[in-house]
Amino acid sequence: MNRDDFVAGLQAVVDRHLGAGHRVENATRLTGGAASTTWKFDVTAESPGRTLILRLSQGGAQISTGIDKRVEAEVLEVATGNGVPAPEVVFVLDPQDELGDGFAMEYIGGESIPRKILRDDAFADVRTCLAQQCGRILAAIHTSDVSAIPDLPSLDAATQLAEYESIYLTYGERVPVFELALRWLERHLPDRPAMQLVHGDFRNGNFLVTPDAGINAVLDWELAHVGDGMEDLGWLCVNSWRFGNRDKPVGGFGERRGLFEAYEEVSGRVVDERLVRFWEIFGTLRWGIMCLYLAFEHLDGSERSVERAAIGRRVSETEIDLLQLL
Amino acid sequence: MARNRPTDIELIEAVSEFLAGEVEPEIGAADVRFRLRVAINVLGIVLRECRSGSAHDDHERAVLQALLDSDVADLAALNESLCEQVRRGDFDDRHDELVRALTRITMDKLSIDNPRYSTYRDLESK
Repeated sequence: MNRDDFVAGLQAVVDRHLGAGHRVENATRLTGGAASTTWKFDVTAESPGRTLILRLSQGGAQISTGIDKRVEAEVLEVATGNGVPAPEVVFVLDPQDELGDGFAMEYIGGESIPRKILRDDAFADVRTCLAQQCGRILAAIHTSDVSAIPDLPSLDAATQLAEYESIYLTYGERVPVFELALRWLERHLPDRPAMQLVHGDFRNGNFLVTPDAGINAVLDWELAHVGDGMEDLGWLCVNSWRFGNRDKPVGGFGERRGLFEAYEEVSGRVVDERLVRFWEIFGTLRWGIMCLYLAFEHLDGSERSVERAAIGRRVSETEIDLLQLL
Repeated sequence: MARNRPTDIELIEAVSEFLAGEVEPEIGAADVRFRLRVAINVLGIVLRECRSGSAHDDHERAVLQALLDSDVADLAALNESLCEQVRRGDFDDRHDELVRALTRITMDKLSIDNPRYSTYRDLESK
């Protein structure tokens, strides 16, 4: 579909969901890939216009059990209903919209680039509280009513480990450090049922941060699932997401103590640090396997790009981090 | 086979200088600028790899042969064998030794892939 046809289609969708008199303007495609695209657009009526974001599924393959956009919208509604800062869902696409699977949400401002969040003076004050804020937000996510999202997949540790192992084995690349990590994780699998709403990609890079509010919104909920909240705490501390600030385990901006205490206070649950460590190790391996996956998307021709080729050489970063953890 | 100058390394350096010096200032689109930086970075990786020659392969071979008590020379075969043994649990009781050996090999890899990586720099400075 060309751009003009798309914008015309989008106008029709806005008419259906918001009523007549809302003009779509400045539609810009922000991201595009095999799995999904994101558009930003304004709707102007008599009152001041709003800026919205449209998240559309492209129907292409996703690395792991990503959820439909329809389900993602439900997750957002449940999470924001429990006090999580995240964009408000404005409407969800249905078959009559003829744009496939997707939803529109309010546009929220803020900085998402990790290096800026970690280095710019504007964020100096707010950086000192980000770890605690993450703790409070994660507590709100994990105590959300997951029963309200029946189509959310349930993924315990064993299921996720098997999935990532299977992706690794697809490529025939022999990575002894990955074998060591897989074996360690298998032998230390937690026996915890999957029962909580888990974000699945909660890390520096998926936050919109402002100097006054700190984390204004949590983004990218497509890997949300039912699991163990400790997963999110571990992923947040993976060294790759500290963007150079190795001595600040939480997102490159904070200490574990701050994260855990805030989490415990709000959720009423105790943080099991051994479990968080399990998930930090798992997360480090997961990111390494994802780098392999992305590199092979380039190598096998499904998505050629210099970025994907380059990311194959980031596997070694995860290898050294695993060796330091194991 | 005889080759004329520039060498492979010198050619890569020339392309890298061209991209950083002449092309980068011309690019307005943020996403293309980003990928251009990635491309320049990639050339840096290739340069470091060319400059390292066979030293890392030789080191890896020596480390793996000692670890596996093997005189097999082929690196792919050594790695394959190590992976199978780890998978089987043969190294469960030799954890520290395995971690030390793999750390030496991985540090060599990082010296090429990303010598500015935080963990690499921390370990190198010890």
